[in-house]
Parts: sequence; C-alpha cells; structure tokens
Amino acid sequence: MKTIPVNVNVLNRNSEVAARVNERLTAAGIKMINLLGTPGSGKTTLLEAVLGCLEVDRNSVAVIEGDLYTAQDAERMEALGVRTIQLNTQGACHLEADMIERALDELDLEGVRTVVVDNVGNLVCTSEFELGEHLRVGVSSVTEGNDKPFKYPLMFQTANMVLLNKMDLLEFTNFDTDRFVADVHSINESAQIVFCSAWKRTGLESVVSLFK
Amino acid sequence: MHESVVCQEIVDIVLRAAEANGLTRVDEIVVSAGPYSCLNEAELNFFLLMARVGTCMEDAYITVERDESLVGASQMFVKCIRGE
Ligand SMILES: Nc1nc2c(ncn2[C@@H]2O[C@H](COP(=O)(O)OP(=O)(O)O)[C@@H](O)[C@H]2O)c(=O)[nH]1
Ligand SMILES: [Mg+2]
Repeated sequence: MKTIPVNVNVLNRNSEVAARVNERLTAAGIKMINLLGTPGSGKTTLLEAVLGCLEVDRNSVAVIEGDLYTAQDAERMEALGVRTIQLNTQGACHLEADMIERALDELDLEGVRTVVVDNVGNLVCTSEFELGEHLRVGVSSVTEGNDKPFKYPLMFQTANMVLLNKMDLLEFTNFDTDRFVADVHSINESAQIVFCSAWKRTGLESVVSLFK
Repeated sequence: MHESVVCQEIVDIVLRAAEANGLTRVDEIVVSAGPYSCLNEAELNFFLLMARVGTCMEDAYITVERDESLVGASQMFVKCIRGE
C-alpha cells in the first residue's frame, strides 16, 4: 500500500471562481458584500432600511438574492427600485461562486458600485463558500439567544462586521449584549460589532457608510 | 449539509491525484478539516457510495481528521490517499 500526499483544498474549484469574481469586480471598481445570517435575523429588512435611506444612491447598488425556492426577497428589492436578480438554489443550503459569476453576467452593472449578496438564511454552510466578496457582514439578532457565536463559530470567525439586530426588542429578551461582544471577539478579535434595529432604522450609520 | 458537493469535489481531486501518481486502486482518502468546518464523515461516505461507482476508488473510505491549525472560510483539505 502506498501513501500519496495530496494537500489540495477541497473547495479549490469554488475558491478559484471566487478569486475570478473578486478580480473582475475590483477591476470594475465594484465592492461586493456577502450578507450572511440565520433565516429571520433581518437581512432583507436591513437592506430595505439601508437602501431606503436618502444618503444611499439606489442606482449604484445591485442585489443578488439567494433563496431556496421563492422570489419574495427579490420582490422586496424591486419594490424599492433596486436592481436585483433572484437565485434559487432549489433546496441547496448555500450559494457558490459560480452562481455569482453567472448572476453578474446577467445583471446590468452600469453605474453600480456595490453588489450585495443576500445569502440563503443559514449559519452553517454559507460561511464555508467564498463568493468573491470584499466584505462579509454577519447578521445576528437578540431574539436568537446568546449561545449562537459558539454554536456557529464559522460565520462569526469569517465576518468583517457582525450586526446585532432587533435591538428594539432587547428589553423583552434575556439577551446579554456584553457577553455577545466578548464571545464574538473571542472568536474573531477584529470583527466590528454593530448594534442596530433594521425595523426602527437605528444604529445603521456604519452599514450605510459601506454604500458610500 | 453540503456533503454531496464536497464529496464530488473530493472524488475529482482524488481521481486526478491517483492518475498523476499511477495508483490503480484507492483504498483510503484522508481529509483534514478545521475545528469549525461542518463536515460529517458518515454523510461524506454515504455520498461516496454513489460518487465512486465505476472509478478506481470502488472500495474506498473517507477518513476525516480534525486539524486545529486550519482557520478561515474553507477549512477542508484532501491530505493524502492510500492505495496500490
Ligand atoms: N422588531 C424587529 N423586527 C425585525 C427587525 N429586523 C427584522 N425584523 C422582522 O423579522 C422578520 C424577518 O426579517 P427578514 O428581513 O425577512 O429576515 P431575513 O430572513 O434575514 O431576510 C420580519 O418579520 C421583520 O419585520 C428589527 O430590527 N426589529
Ligand atoms: Mg431574506
């Protein structure tokens, strides 16, 4: 019996496509944001709040919506007058870089400076697939409980910015925000943590500034 | 949850490595995975039952080793293969 060392990253193919996507967008002066989080954490509401605010030029943004089966989130973006494309994974739990590459071929990117990927609601698999993004934003909310950073560390480890959403509901929960900050920083010390309420449209300044 | 995709990628990598190194039969595939990677050995081997049909890894088994030093988004490597 022979042992042959291989040492090849299993997701190499995806990473190669992601690198190609990243290069293409960078060359075009476009920033891509990968928005991750649990179903219901408020990713789409956050986009509505940010893209609906006066300081953001909606014509400079395109949204790639990832969802298992429906086009409901894309319809929410279209209602705001934002260019959008719906990717349906037909049950698959995450998006892969080649889906993004094809979506970019289909989107009209004229005048676009920011592309947002509103990823499939999932803390597990989405984190493992690089899409070619420049920035990862993870959305968590106070109603999910304090145990999530340690239960789903990969999202918190790979996010550049972690939003703690639904702060308007804090008083109705037993959520401990200090513990959340300490837990997230113990997994990823450079993560920028932002408290916000997408619904009340508060605490969104640092998210809005990503679009400027 | 995405073991089917991962399994297919592993099979492609192993087939290339086997051919490049003149292996005609692969018995074991060792995958190293970071502490936070979401990879289930039993599920991978379930998909392997289908993916390996008609290949040189007809009897192969995937072993997943945890490697604490792997960090970042994609924490999964095909470390080595064993065969004849
Ligand atoms: N109270 C409150 N509800 C919110 C907030 N953000 C989102 N929601 C609600 O949470 C639910 C899920 O939001 P949605 O944006 O669709 O979540 P997604 O699955 O992450 O896209 C909806 O009913 C939203 O109205 C918030 O900041 N506060
Ligand atoms: Mg949504």
